[in-house]
Amino acid sequence: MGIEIEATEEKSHEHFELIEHLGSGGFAHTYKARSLDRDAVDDYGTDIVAIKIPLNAKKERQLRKEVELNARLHIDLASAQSTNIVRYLGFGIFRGQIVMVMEYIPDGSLRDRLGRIGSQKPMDVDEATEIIRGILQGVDAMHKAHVFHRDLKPENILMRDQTPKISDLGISRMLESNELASTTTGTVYYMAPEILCDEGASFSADIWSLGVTLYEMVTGKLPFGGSGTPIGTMVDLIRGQNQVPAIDIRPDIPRVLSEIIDRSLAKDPSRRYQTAGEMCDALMHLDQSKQSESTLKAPPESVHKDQREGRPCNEEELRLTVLANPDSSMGYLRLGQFLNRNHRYGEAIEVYRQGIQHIPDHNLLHWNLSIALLVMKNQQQACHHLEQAILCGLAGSLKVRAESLLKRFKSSRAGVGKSTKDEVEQILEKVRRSESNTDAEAMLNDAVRKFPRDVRVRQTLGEFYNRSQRYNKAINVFEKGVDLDPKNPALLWDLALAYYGAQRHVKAINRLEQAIDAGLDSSRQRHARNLLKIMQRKNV
Amino acid sequence: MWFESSLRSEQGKDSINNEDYCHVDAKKGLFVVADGMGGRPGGKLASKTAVTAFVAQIGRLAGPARLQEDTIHSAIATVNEQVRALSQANPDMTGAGTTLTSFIVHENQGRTVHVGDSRVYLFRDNYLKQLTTDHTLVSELLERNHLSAEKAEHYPYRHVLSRSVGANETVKPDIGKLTIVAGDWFLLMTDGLSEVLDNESIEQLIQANCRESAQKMCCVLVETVMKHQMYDDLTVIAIHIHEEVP
Repeated sequence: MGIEIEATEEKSHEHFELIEHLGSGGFAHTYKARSLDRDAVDDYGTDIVAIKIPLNAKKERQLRKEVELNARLHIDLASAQSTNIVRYLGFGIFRGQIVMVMEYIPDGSLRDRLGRIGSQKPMDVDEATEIIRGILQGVDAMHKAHVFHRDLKPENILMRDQTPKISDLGISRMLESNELASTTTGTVYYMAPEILCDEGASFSADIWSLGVTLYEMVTGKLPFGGSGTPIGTMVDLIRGQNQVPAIDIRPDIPRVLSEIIDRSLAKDPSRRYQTAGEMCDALMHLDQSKQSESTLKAPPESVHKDQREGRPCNEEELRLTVLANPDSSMGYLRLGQFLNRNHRYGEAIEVYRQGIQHIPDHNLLHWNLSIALLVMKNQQQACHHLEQAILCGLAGSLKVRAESLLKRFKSSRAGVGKSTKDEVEQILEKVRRSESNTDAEAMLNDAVRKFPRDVRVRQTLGEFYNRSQRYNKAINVFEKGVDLDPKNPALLWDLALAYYGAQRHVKAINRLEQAIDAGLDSSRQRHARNLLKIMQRKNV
Repeated sequence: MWFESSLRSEQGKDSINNEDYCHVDAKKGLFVVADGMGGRPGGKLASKTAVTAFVAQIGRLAGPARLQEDTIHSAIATVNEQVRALSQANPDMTGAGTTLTSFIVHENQGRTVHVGDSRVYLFRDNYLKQLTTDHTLVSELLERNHLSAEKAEHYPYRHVLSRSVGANETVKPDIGKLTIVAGDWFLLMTDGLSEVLDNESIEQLIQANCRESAQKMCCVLVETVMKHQMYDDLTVIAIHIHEEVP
């Protein structure tokens, strides 16, 4: 198909200069472009961006829909600030048409690195786990903002050097609302059984897609079917067959990695990792296992021969080793790893604690304990042991990871501290942690009844309704909030979004202008002005 | 027997170009429709290549040979190779594919050849019967009881095809046999029609117009769809079997 846009035309009146054609989809071309608008460059933080240009005037409607969806998602994700999500920068006008402006990611997609389906090449294990951890961090940020991707696959992961960036956040919602007439079968390979059969999918469906992706990265094969598999057979495989364990295809990968993949591909969503953060922690633990194995070179004489040779040992032997050498960290570490591998985290925690009683300043015992505590969602104690691990001399990449985990949990620890004083904060924290939308809604409605004059509760409930596209309910909640706090820019902004979602543009424009006047922060202000432009353009 | 036939193809309201392609050769009794993969660059070229290649393969054969299953399988294999060659030669065509549905007649024997979600209908004795089964993810899920009919109506991935020409190295067509009788109406159509009109509505339209010409039948069907606010590319071929030339 010919590309209808020439990159060499006169650009003096345009806000963008086209540099390179990156690809074309069902309704838009994507170009690498230079922004020629200085104000926009300040906003974007760069002059090199990617822009999506509708294929023709008829396709502008679909692109505009994608712009609107991305604008909303961007707002949902504003607090996440993940480096692993392609940034939506806004929209612009190019040759009289709306174009979507995004962060430009220079190094292709994960699909380019893996190769076409049918001729994929397995990746180095360290590289694969590093990339998947990056993706998991992005997904974790999305899920915390209650954004569910639904279409994670190597084609939608763009690469900046070794940093993966999740793209196409709005596409799946467009698919859901039948905005796209997709006929590709590529998505099916990565589809969780509950999505495939429309059985009410949740965030753990994204975990499944990442399990398929990780499997493909380390084995060079798909876990269910391949390019020549009839779709009916693939459906049967995804629904009813377990994949061949990754370690059986590639025996040199760590068994733990194969088990992590198996867990992410559990048919029953409740048996998968429940959060991307949990899966990410399991992969960190894998790194740690590898490092501790290489750090602890010569095992003591009393350690069983099988252990020295790296073969799996049974639990009884490991427990005997601990009893025989209570002052050696080796036994605790190996037994703890054995228990972790079998998902017996509570018992692993006990073992590491025993170890610390005997050897209080062993950095790997503290590190292991903190990871097991994180898996068990005991963040406060995990932070304590992360700090201890660093104090006891944790080094290298483990130290970097420990510091990054500490940083990540710093804010939530502060939240926990406050929560004892503030009942409202405690409820809101519970809502944030809730994975059931019904529970979250019930908790918020109870909180509104209990604290009718608390704006934070109303704001959270309204945001919840906005996310679930129940805009009229959101409007009621925000309007009452604005009655309580008429100059609150964030509330006015949220209310404007609700009006916008409900297609009540005059009200939305009015509230957006009030939000800007009330001192909306600069990032949202830019989006507010974008939305104003969209609505004014629509009204014209 | 004498075939009175007509065709009509219209670009969808939101399409850049009509990705459907069709061929009618009443003399040889060869009718074909194809729908290039929606939203894919190269969809139009894929449908055109597939129809042209299929007509070239089948059209050169003598009457009875056109109905032989192994001949049809071999023709579809060649068509599949030619469509795949398009995407291998041009990166912009990556993922291009197409449906292909044909009705071949010799004397009183007919064959349906089918890959994808275009359809062949038979209207006989005042009733409509769908002769082909859609090759879609939804129909596979329904067949395997993984999805209820209620959910299927709003299934977000209902446009995903389970079989198409050009998508995989090999493709297996469904081949159906039937004996035709005077008075039969056969309709070949792409999903631009069947997405908007359910089987009951199509049946009612044919019942109301079965004494009209094939051309009128095509117009009625297409114009009913075009009254809707949104529609995709749509193509219909209507074939009316008469006892003898009027």
